[in-house]
Amino acid sequence: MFNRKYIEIIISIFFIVLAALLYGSADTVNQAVSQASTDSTSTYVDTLAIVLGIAGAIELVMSIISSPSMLEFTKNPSKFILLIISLIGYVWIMEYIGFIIATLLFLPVTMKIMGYKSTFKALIISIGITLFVYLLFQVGFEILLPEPTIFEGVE
Amino acid sequence: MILLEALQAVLAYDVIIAVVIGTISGVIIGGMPGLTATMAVALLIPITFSFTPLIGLAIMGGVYAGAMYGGSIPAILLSTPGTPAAAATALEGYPLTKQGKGGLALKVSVVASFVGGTFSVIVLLAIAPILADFALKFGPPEYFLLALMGLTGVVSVASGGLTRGIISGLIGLIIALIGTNPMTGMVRYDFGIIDLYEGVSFMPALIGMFSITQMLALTSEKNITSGDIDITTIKREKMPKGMWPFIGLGTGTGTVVGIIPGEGATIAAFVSYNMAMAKSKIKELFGKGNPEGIAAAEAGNNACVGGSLVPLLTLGVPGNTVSAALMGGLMIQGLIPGPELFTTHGVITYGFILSLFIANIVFLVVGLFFAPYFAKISQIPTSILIAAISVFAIVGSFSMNNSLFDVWLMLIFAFGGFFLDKLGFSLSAIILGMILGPIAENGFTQALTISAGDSSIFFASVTAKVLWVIIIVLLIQPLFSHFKDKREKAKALKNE
Repeated sequence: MFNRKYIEIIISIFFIVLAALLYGSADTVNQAVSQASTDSTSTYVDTLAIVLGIAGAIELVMSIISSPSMLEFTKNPSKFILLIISLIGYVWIMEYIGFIIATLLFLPVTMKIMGYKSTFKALIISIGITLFVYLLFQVGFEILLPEPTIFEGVE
Repeated sequence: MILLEALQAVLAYDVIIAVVIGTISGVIIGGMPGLTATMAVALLIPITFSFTPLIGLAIMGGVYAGAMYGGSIPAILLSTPGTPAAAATALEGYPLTKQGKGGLALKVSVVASFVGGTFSVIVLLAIAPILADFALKFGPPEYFLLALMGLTGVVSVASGGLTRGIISGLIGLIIALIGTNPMTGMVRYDFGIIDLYEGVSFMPALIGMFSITQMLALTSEKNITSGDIDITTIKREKMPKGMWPFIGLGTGTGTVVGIIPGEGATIAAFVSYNMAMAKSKIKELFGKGNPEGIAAAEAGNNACVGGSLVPLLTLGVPGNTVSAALMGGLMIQGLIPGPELFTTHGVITYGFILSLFIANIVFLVVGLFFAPYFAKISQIPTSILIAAISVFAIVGSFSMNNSLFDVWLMLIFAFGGFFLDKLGFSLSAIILGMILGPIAENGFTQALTISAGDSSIFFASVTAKVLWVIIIVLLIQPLFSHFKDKREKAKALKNE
């Protein structure tokens, strides 16, 4: 549980700062060969920045005057955090060990984390899903899936 | 002539197979609580990429139509709407199931869905070419205002309030600035990352915000469905009398609501349901199992399908997130939504519209004969669902450009989207901002360049004035509701 009021104040300030940075960058970042194009592009970016700044300021005032309340991101923080970690881990290892091995590791681990009881069934289902995705994408539609890079150069 | 060619193309066996597979997949996905039509279409786009444009679009259209209907099956049999749009159906459907009339509720639902869906496609077929022709007269200021109108529609119905809706839309527009400036060709806001030269692709964002965020939310749920179902107890029943006026009511309401940007199938279903309640002669049965409510709600949400495609196909403005995902599918096939779709790519576009008729017939047959079996699928454990959908989302994001950078981007959007969603920001507005950003920027900058910086160009034409009126009405509507709610709350407090 988090204090909603403080989170809302921080996020409102973030949007105001973002608006200021965007406004400041409009002229320098949107340089063009023609002055007319530079001006119109800068005006567009400036307009977005001004509206964001105003909306952020309104949100900030509303957050400050609002009564305190709690914000619950999830009812099950451990499962939530473990899913985030396993997703990041899955993508990270996929780069090295490729799609098939990474998926064969990710699926049963995630299923167990999420509360699936039978390890044997989890393994069978994982093999089935991995095979299905591989056949569908790589074989059926000839869409490339990440290949292992860890063995590159090894004869 | 084009229509005949399109009909010939759509009646090819491979297109029909595509529609059948797409529609059945849609019914299955729509029938699984936690999985939405947007997610289904977004996850399918990488697969449809390898097909011809018509087959790809036929699959996606089938999924859209099937998912809209599929949501009603667990809503009726398990009191768990498969999609948010089926929530109104659950109010009447589940009490009927408890009374042993689940078969009757399923029959009313599928017939109403079929009528609503089919009528809205007829409207799409009739209106779209006229509107597309009219859009040819649009210049840069009108295109800017059109993008603004599309975004305002979504912002105005954002659940977290108008200011957060506006901020959400602006986040999308700002993300759309990243990459090569369309006017000058210069790269901007790329932070030195080469993968950002082409900008932030909206497909990883869409998949992240509408698939993985959903999976993160599901970690809180032990079981998605609240009941169990014995399919042997469901009897086939005849269509009850007196349903047609309510089906007609839902069909008309859903089609109109679908055309309005931002107003999705959930709103269509509830507006139709409330109108049916007001019109009914047996009001006292509402909430206790009145098939009239199911007829109106289901006709309403399915009629949104054709309606929401009108602004997408003719003006390139997606009215809701499903049509935004469909827009991604169109663009990947090299089809830019707008007037050209009905001229240069007429056979594909009309073929796609005609394929929606077939999709409606497919889910009618599936619904009439196999609906209870689909309810069983909705009972797949969340642990398997979360793991499997995550794999599809990651593979889908990777396969668009064979890039792991896109996968990381998808995860950033997923985690950021989850956080913003919890704070009441609108993910639909963010994604529409990203899609409409280039249209808005091109229109804005070109208009100002033409007029040498004179902003009165945005008010010059009659079309521009009409678009301004619509934008203002869309913005006033939530403010009006906000003050009305406040006044009613104050009244209630005073009475206490």
